[in-house]
Amino acid sequence: MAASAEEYAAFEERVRRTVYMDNLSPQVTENVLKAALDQFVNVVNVQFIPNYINPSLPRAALVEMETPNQASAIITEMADSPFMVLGMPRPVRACAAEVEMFDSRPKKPGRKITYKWLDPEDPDFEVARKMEVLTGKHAAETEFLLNHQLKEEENLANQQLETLKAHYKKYELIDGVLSDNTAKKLADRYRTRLSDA
Amino acid sequence: MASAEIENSGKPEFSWGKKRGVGGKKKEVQFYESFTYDGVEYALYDCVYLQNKDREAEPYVGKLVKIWKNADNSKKIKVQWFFRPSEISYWLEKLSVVASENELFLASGDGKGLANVNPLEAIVGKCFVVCVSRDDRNPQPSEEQLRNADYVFYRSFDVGQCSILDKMNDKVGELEVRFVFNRQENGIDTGPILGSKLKEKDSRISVAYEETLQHLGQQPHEVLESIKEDGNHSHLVAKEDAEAGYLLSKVETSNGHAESFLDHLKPRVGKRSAPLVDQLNGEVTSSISQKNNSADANAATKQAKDSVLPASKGVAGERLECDPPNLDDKSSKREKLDDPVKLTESKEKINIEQLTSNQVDLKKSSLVSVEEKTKLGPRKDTVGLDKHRKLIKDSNVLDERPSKKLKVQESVKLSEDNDKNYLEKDNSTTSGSKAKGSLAAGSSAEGTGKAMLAQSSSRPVKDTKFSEDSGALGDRPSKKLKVQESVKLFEDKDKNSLDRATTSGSNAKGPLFAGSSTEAIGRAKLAQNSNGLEKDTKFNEEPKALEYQPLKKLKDKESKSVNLSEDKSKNNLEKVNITTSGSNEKGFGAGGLIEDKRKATVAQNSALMDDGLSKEKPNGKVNELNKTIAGPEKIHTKEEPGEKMEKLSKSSSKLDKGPPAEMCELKLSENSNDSIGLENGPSMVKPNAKTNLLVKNCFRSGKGPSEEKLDEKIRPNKGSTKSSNAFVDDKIYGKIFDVTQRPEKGKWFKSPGIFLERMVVAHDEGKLVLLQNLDPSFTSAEVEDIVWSVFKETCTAKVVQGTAISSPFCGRALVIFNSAEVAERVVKALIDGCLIISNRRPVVGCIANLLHLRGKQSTFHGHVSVDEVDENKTQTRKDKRDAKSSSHSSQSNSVAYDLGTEWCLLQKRSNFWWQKLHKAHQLQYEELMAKFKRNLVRDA
Repeated sequence: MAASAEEYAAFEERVRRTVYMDNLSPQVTENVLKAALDQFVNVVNVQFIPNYINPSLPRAALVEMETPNQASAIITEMADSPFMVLGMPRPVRACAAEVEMFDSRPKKPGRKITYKWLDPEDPDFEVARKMEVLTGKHAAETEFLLNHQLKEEENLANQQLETLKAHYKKYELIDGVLSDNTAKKLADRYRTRLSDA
Repeated sequence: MASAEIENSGKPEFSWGKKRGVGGKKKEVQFYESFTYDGVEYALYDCVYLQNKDREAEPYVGKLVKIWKNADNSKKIKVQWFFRPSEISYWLEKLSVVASENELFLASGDGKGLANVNPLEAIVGKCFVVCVSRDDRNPQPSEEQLRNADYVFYRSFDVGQCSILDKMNDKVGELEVRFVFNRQENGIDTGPILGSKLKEKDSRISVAYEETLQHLGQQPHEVLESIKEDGNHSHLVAKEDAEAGYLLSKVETSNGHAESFLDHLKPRVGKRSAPLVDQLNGEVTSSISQKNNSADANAATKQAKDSVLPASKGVAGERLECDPPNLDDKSSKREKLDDPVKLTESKEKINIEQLTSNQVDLKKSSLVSVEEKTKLGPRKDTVGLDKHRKLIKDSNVLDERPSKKLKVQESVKLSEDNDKNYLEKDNSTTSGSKAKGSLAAGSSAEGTGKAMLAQSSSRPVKDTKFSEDSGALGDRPSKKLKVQESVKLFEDKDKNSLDRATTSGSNAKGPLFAGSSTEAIGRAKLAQNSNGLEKDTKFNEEPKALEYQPLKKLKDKESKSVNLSEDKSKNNLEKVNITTSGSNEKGFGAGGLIEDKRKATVAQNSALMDDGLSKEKPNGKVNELNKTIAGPEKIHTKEEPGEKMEKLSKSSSKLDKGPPAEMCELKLSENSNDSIGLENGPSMVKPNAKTNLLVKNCFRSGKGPSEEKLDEKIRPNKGSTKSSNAFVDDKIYGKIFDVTQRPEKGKWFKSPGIFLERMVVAHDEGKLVLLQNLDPSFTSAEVEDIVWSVFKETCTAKVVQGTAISSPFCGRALVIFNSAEVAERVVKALIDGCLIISNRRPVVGCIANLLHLRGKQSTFHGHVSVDEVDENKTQTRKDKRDAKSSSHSSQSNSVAYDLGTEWCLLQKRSNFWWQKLHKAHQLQYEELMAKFKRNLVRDA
């Protein structure tokens, strides 16, 4: 078991130099992520976190750096300015990785798991029952919040798309006005010089 | 996957072991006896897992029969295959062979599929396969081995004929049979283990049994000797009987006299049981008085004319005689009750029960039977031990049981007949020895003589019996099927035997008829016992049958007695029944277990019957038995055993309702309960294991794999109310168990990459369970261990990896079970009960319903298709693979920056609300936790 303690220590060290990133586009691959981060640090390993329960969520990944310092540097860098990978404008979010995020993690050394069935006559049984119910409730709440978040994101995206489209239209208009001599004519009409406008 | 992992981890270390010889044309092939691969040493005839082509499927299992290195340095192994039941399910179905889940079939015969040459690297791990064949060439595996075994086997599958062979020939395929069986060193290992167990028990039992125990400790052959000795003992006893009868005639029914008589007996019997006798004197006397009373009553009922008094005296004497041994038995029983319950003990008790039941049946003639019993007493102990031993050894071998049991019963009857014949022959000797008291004594002498005969002549008898058995088998099934009928048949037979007995004994008069029949029964039992002993020593298969038989007979007798009372409607008889039940109860009082076991055996029997015979009728049997058992219960419920009996009655009711299979479970579980109760907790696991073995046996004999698993769970004594839900039944409430590591299979089987695919399949098949409220720090392996420990199910678990938005308090895991039924059972157990793991929240499980699994991936919002918006950025489309061009920190002067900031805002908000939610959830939990934390802490 001593070996496993070492193993676990090594694992914890790995956790420290790993950055958790989410809000990733489904198109992002390991190579894309590596290349995107290459400008800052050397990426050792990229692991995507599979989302079995709700694949509609944006992807998340664990990016392992060479040192813990690099990891923290990346986190601050990405917090400072929106970092966009393979698409705009939704930036990638980064935070420190946690043990629970890892799939292949060694067992915590020295931990002994016990289990027991509560006696139905035990007063705790009722409490436990309530907790089970609570769990269901919480799951529902979580689900709801998740949907809410997705909706918010969709709203924001739509809104931004609108904005962008409006901008686009404006530019198009200006462009069109400039290109089809309308601007010139108008300038003549108002006796101004186009370059002044 | 596996190969990929092998590559990843570099080449596994490898080294050759012992060389064996060379072969090939140019002696270029080097054979080996062993090798070490990836840190595991493999030797010839080891069983190994071999990589399946379909890597997700379970690996193949084979036995290494050749190991060699070719000239080109390629390492080869030749393996003879084991078949999983699933692999030959077609044939199993066709042959209507039932195999348990962890049973394998060794390939045999000649043809494709027997063995293959494989590259050595195909080995994925070592597999512990234990041969549980009862073949006497097979060193029997120890309990521990059985527990640790990945698989067991005792049958082979002939690949040429496509048939299942129950026996191993001298050569199985290309393999000599000695390599098929367990290794000899195992046998040596198990020997001492068994011996030591026996000794443990011995020490606990009493000095009285030391002799026989010692015999037991030795080899079976010696048991025979001990039997002979017993025979001598019985002779002595017979003499004592005569004396006792004499004394009794003086003493009659007064207890004090009885005591004195006991004292008188002590010097002789006391050698065995002196201390016990002292302790138990009071009880003895009481029992004696009761017996005397019953004897009187019997006498009265019999209305025996001239010989009634002497008979009663003789009877009393016999009883007295019987008492010391009985005392021994009882004392041993009590001791046993104090001690952790052991199977052997319980068996002994069963024997005792038999005795008691004999008494019941015999009330009149019980004296005789008692005599027999007393004489058999020591033997029975030895028998019990033997049985125990064999149980352990043979625990797995039940398949052949049904027929054997059938045979055994038959054999019993046959043995009865034989015994009678012998009796007739030897009457002169027996009667000569005993015949001082009276005719009644003479009849008792008959019984004893029979017993003696059975003992002394049982060997020759055996052969004859065996042959007879085989011949007689044809009749049996019908009897078993219809217990009632069988009971009647029994009666008939008994009567026949009575006739014989009467003729031979010449004592039995009209009223005595029933008694004499019971006598016959007693003889039958004796014969069984004696047969059992001999068979035990010689024939491995028999002991089991013996165990069952006595039980059946007991039942039969009970039912008989009932029938007798009903049919003949003699008040006397009814009284007799009551008294008999009383005596039964005494027997139970010492060991309520007996009943349980009886039932268990009954259940087993019924299960067995299920196999071959009609399924509904066993119920009938059981019911009958239950009724008969219930009768005495009602009459006497004061004593301790009352509880147990009540349970029994419950179980009987359950039996009535449930399908036969369930009956088995229930009864077995009751056994385990009892053993647990007796053991008082600390070492609970061990008795379980034993009972498990038993349970497994019976299941293996006929039941599907799913039910096997149920056995392994222990049911609480009181809490069990539902009989339908096995898990619930088997839960032990309130007790904290450690989660143990699941026995590791080949480590390369854990192929995580394809989990998603497997999950989708499992989801569609309803095998996917979502567990919530786990400790988030659990790893997948730990979840698997938990599932293994709690439910005794193997599974593939995957902890849902945490994300930024997942709850830091509530871990979730997806678990794929082997089948939808298992998954449903686990979920039901979790719904019905509350499973607390490591004092955390109760685990919640549900069949995962992931609708979206097959749905399309929802779109990812927030990445505006840029080419539509800004022509400058259309290039990003072209080099989408070139991440650098599209990945950047947005500059603050761009539109993207503004938009990105909005996203950051949203992310911050989302962070905030998730935190809020989790905090609120945690608070709610803590509120609840506060309510019961005390208790949890206390328990911890």
